Amino acid sequence: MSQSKAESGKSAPFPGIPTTADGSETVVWVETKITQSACAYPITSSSKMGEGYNLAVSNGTKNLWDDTIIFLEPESEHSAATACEGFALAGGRTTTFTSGQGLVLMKEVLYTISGKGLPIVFHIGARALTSQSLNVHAGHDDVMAVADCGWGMVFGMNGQASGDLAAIVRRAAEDCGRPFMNVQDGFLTTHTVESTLLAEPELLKDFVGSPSERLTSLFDPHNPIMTGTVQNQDSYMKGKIAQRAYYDDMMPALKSAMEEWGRLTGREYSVVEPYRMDDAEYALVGMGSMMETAMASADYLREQGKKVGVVHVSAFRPFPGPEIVEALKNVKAFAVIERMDNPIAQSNPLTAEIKSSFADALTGHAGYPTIDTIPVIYSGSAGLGSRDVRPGDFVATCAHMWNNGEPRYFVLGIKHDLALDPPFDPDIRPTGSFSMRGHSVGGFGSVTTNKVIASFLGELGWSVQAYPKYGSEKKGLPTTYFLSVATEPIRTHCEMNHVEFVPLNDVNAFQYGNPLGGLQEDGMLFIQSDKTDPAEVWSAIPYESQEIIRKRNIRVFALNTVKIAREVAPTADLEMRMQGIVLAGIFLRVSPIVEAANATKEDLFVRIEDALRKWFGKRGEAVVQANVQAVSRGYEEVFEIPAAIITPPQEAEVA
Amino acid sequence: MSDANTTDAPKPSPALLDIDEFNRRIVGAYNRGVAEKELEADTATALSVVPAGTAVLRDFSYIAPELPIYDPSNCIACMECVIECPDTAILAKVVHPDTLDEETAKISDPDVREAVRSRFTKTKKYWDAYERKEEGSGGLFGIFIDPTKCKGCAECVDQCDDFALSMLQKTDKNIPQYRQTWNAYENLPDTSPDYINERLLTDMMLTERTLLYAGGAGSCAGCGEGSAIRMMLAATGFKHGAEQVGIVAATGCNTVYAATYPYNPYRIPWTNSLFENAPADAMGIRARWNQMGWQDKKLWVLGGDGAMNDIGFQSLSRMMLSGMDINVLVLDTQVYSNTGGQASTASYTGQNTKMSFHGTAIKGKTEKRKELAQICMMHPDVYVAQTTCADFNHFYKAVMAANEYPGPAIINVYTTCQPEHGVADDMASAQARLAKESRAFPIFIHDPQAGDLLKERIDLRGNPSARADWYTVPKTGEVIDFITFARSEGRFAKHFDADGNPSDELLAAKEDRLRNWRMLQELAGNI
Amino acid sequence: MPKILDYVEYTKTDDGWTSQKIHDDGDFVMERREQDAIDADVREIETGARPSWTRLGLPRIIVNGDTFRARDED
Ligand SMILES: Cc1ncc(C[n+]2csc(CCOP(=O)(O)OP(=O)(O)O)c2C)c(N)n1
Ligand code: SF4
Ligand code: SF4
Ligand code: SF4
Repeated sequence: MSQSKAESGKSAPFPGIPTTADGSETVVWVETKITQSACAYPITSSSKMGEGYNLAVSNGTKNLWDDTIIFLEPESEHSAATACEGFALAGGRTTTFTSGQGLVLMKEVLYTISGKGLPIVFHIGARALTSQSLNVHAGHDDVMAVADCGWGMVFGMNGQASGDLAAIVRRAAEDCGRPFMNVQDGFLTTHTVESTLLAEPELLKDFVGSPSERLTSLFDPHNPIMTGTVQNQDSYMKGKIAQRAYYDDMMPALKSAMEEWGRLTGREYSVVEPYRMDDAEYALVGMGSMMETAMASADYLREQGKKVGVVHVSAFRPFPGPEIVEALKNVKAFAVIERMDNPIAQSNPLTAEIKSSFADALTGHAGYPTIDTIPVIYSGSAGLGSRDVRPGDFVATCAHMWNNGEPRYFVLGIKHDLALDPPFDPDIRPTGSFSMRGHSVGGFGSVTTNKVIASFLGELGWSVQAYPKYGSEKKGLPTTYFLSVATEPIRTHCEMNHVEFVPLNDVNAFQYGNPLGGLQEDGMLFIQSDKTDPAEVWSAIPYESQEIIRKRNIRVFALNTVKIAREVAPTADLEMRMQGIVLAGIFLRVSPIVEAANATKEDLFVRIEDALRKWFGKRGEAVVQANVQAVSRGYEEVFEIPAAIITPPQEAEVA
Repeated sequence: MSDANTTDAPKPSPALLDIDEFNRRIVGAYNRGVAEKELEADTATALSVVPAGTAVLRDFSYIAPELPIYDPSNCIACMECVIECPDTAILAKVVHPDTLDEETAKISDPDVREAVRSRFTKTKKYWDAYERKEEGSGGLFGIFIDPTKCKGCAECVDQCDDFALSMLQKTDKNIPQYRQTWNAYENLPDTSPDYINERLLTDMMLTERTLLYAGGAGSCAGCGEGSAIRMMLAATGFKHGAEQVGIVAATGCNTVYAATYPYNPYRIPWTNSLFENAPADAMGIRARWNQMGWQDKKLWVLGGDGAMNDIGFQSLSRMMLSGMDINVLVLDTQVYSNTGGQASTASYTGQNTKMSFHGTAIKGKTEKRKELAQICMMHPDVYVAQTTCADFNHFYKAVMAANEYPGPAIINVYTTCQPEHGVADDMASAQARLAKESRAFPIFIHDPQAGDLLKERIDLRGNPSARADWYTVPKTGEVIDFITFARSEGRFAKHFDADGNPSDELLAAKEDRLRNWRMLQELAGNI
Repeated sequence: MPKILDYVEYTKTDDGWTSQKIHDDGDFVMERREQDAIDADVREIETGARPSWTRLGLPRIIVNGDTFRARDED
C-alpha cells in the first residue's frame, strides 16, 4: 500500500525523498529532525533506532529548530521512560525506542506520563514477551500488555508507514496533549529494507511545528507548580473521570493529522484501512506487517474469483469501533488474525474489541452504524515470535471461512490440533520479480551486502525488499538473507519460498537441508568454492542436488570469494567480513535485473561505489576502495559451470 | 548561557493555572470541608496540577492542644527554633526600632499592636553588636508563631537552650490573638540585609527567599524529614535565589504529606513520578534545562532510604555516573515510613520493624545496615555527605557544597520518624544528635575536589572524639555507644530485659556499628 | 518531653523581684534571666496590666503566691 501511496503522492506538495530504508531508519530520519532528545535503553529489535539516534547525536546533529539533540542511555527501560517524562515535563520534545520486556518494564511510567498529559511519542519494535521462552522476534503481546495505559497506539504495516506515522502521531499527540506509541513489527519492519519515501525536512518542520511553541514546561522555577500529586476519595475519581475530556480529543486529533498528512504527501492513512472491501464477502483483519501480505493474498484470491478483502486496523488506541463495524458489517465472515495468544481471555484483544463493537452496533449504541446481524467472527493466532506468516496461511483462513469451518479460533503456520493447513502456497509476488535467498554464515558480511545490493537497486529505480532471517545466535552460525526486486511494490512480508537466485556463501549449506528449495525453473545458483576447475566444483555438489539442478534447468556459478576477500582486505580483521561483499559483484553480473538496466560496467561501478561509500564511508576511504575492488573482482571473475558438465551429452541422449 | 549547545532561549511558560481562582474555588472548598461533595469532576482535577504554596491556606489551629509561647527576655536570637521547626510555623524578623514604630503604628488594635511590639527584644547579636559599631544601627529581634501551621510538636522548645520558649495550652481566647499577631508579623518588612551576616548560616532563615517550604504539609508532628527539606531549600534559596531551584521527589512520606491535593507547601516547581525513578526523572529534566541554558539552576532529588537504597538504587547509581549536576537528599528514616514502617536495607540490625518483626524466634532485623553514603562515595566524582539536621552547620555546609559542586551530589540525612522510631514528637534533633554521637549514624563529608587520596577527600569532623571508638562525655565520663542510642528508642525496646541488659542481637548490632565507624576512620585516615 | 507552661511566677525577694516559668505540674522550672525585663514586667503588673509579653497567649500569672488578674480580665 505504501508504494501505491507513493504513486499517488507524485502530485502532492511533498511527494517524499526516494530511498531504500528499513523501519528503524525511517523513524530515526523523522525523530532526529523533530525532537530535542531521546532517552533509550537497548533491547532487540528497537536498539537499531536508539543507535541511529545516538549516532546523529554523536555527529552533533541539530534538529529543524537548531537545537543540538541529546541522547541519554539510562540503566533500564523504566528509567529511559522516566527520563523522557522528566524531559517532557520540563517542556522538551523527546522519544524513546523499545520493545518486548523493555516495554512492559516501562509500564508503570507509561501511566504517569499519560496522567501528566505529556504528549510524548514512543517507538516500539513489537516483540514477543518471555511468556513461553525468550524470543527476540515480532509479537504483539508486549504492546497489548500496555494497551490500557492511556496512550494512543498506531501500527504501521511497513517502514514507510512507520516513518510517516512518526510525524503524524507527534502532531496528534501534541494536539490532544496525550502520548502515543508508534508500533512496527520487530525485525519484520524495523530491519526490512524497502524502497521508501522520506518526509522532506520542510514538511516536517511545518507539519509538526516548533517544540517551543507547541509545548509548555510544567517544571519551571519562574512559574512554579506541583505535578504528580496525591489524591484521595475526595478527588481521585473526579480527576480520573474528568480525563475523558482529553481522551475525547484524541481520535479527532489523530484523524485530522492523518488527513493533513495525506493532503501534503499523497500518502493516505486512516485509523482503519479497508482494502478491496467494497464488495467483499470475506475479510482478513489484523494489525502490522502481516496485513500487507494479506492484501497481496487477497488480490490473488480475487483473481481466483473469491470476494476477499482486508481491514488493517492502524489505530488500536483510540479504538475505532464504529469505523471497524462500518468496514466489516456487510461481510459473511471475517477472521481477525493476531500476533499473540491469550487463551484465558474471552478472545485475543483485537478480536474481543471488535466483537464488543459489533455488540454495541447491534444493540443500537450511539455513534455506531445500525446493523441487524453480526458476521461470523473467526479469530486466529499467527506469526508469534516471527513465525512465518505466508500467503498460503491466508488462503487457508479464507477457505476455512467459506467452508463454515470449525473451530472459530485457529492457529496458523504450525502443526497443532487447532492449526489450519494451507492447501498450497501461491507465489504472490509482483510479476517479473527477481528474488534471492542467500545461505551464509554470521560474520561473513552477507547481511550488509544484501542491503548494499538493495540500496543500489533502489537507486536504479527498482522496488526492493531486503532482510535477513535473524536468529538470536551470534557470529559463526548459518544465516539466511532475502532480497526481492520488482517493478512494482513488494507487499509480502514473509520468507521467500519462490526465488530465482540462491547464492551459497556457506560451503556447508548442502549439509543442512536443501538449499535449492523454492529455486525456480531456469533459476541460478552460486557456490562459494576454492576450486577453479568447473568440473571439480560440479562434482562437489551432492547427487540429489545435481538432479534438481538438471531438472529445473538451473545455471550454476562459482568463485572463491574467500580468496578475493583475503587479497583485498586492508586489515586482517576485515578478511572474514569481506567475503560477503564479493557477492555484490556476482549479483551484478548474473542477475537479469542489471542487464535490464542497460548500463555499462563503468556506469554501474560509479553507482555501486556511491552505494558502498554510503555504507562504509564512515570507516575510511581505504575500506571503501577495498570493497569496490572486491565487488569488481566478483563481477569479473565469477565463472559458470558449462551446461555440458551439468548435463553431459551422453547422459542427455540417454535422457 | 554561553554554552555552545544552547540555541532556543527558554520562554517563561505561560501560567497554566489561575492561581487566585484555584485558591478561592478549590482550596476554599477544601478548607470549608465541602470539596468532596461540591467540587465537580472537571479538568482542573484531571490535570492534578497545583499552584505553588497553596498549603499556606491550610489551618491546623485545632489539631494540637498546645502551641509555643515566647518569652523575649530570655531569647538570644540563636535561631535554632526557627531552623528546626519542620512546619515553618515559627519565624523571626529583625527590624530597626524606627521601622517597628512606623509599622506598628499602622496596627489599629492596641492589643495586637502591643503584642507585636513586646515580642521584639534587644539581643546581643542584633542590638549590642550593632550599636557598638554604630549607634542607632541596632535591630530588634522577635519570634512569631503561626498558629495555623504549628502542630504543637515542641521541637522548637527542645531546641531553645535559653528557656525562651514553652508550650502553652490553647484556649478560645489565645488562638485568635495568635492569628492576629501572626498577620501583623507578616505585614512587617522583610529583615533588612544589613542584619544578615552572609557567613552566619543560622541567619539564613531571616530572609523570605529561604522560606521555600511553607507550612501546611500533612507530616506527623515533629517529623524529622520536614526539617531536612526546609533546611535544604533554605540553604539553596539563600545562596541562589528562589527562582533557581526545583525538586523531583520519590514517592514516600515526603510526597504524601507535601503533595496531597490541593495543598502544596512548596514555592518552587515540584514533581513526583514514582517510587523508584526520581533520579532518572531528574536526568530528563536536567538534560532539558541544560539544553535551554539553565545550567545554573539547582535540581534536587528527594527520596527516602527505601527509594534510594532499595527500589531506586539502580536509578540513583546510574544518575551518579551521568556527571549531571543533580543533588540528592536522602531522607534516611531507616524504614519505609510511608507504608507504615517496614524494614529497609537501611534499618539497623535488631531493629523491630514490620516485615522484620521482633518475635520469639527472630529478634528483629537480622541483616546489617546498607551504608548508602559509602557506596555513593565509590562512584567516581560524586560529592557525598552524611549529616543530620541537629548539626545544622554541617548540614548547611553540605547543602551549599552540593549546590556548588558541578556534578552529582548525594546528601544522606538522618531523619527521625517519631512513630516508627518510637520517640517523642520533640525529639527529632535530639535523637539525630544521639545517633551521631553513638556511631549509629556518623556524619562525614566526601569532597572529590579535596584531594587525590580518600583520606584527603573524607572529613569526619563533627563526630565527637573522632579518633576514638566511642564517645565519652567529658563531664560525666559516660560512654555513648550504640546501646545508649538503642535504649532511647522504642524500636529497640524488646532488646532490653527487665534489668535493662541488652540482648546478644543488640550487642551484635553494636559491633556492626563499631566496624562501620572504624571503616570510616580508616578511609578518612583517622587511625 | 514537652514542657507545658503552668504559670509565670513573680516573687519579691530581699534582692528584688525574681521571675520563673513553672512547667509540667511543677516538674520543670525555667529561670527568667533579664532583670530589666522582670522589673519592667512588675511595673506593668503594678499598674494592673499584664506584662506585655504575656498578652499573647495569656498564661496564668502568680504574683507573690496570688493569682494575678489584669484590669480587663474577668
Ligand atoms: C513500585 C512500588 N512499590 C511499592 C510502593 C509503595 N510505597 C510507597 S512509598 C513506600 C516506602 C517509602 O519509604 P522510603 O523511601 O524509605 O521513604 P519514607 O516514607 O520512609 O520517607 C512504599 C513501599 C510504591 N509506591 N511503588
Ligand atoms: S511546636 Fe513544633 S510546629 Fe509548632 S512552632 Fe514549635 S517546632 Fe514548629
Ligand atoms: S531557640 Fe530560643 S533563644 Fe534561640 S532564637 Fe529561638 S527562642 Fe530565641
Ligand atoms: S511517618 Fe515518619 S517520616 Fe512520615 S511524616 Fe511521620 S514522622 Fe515523618
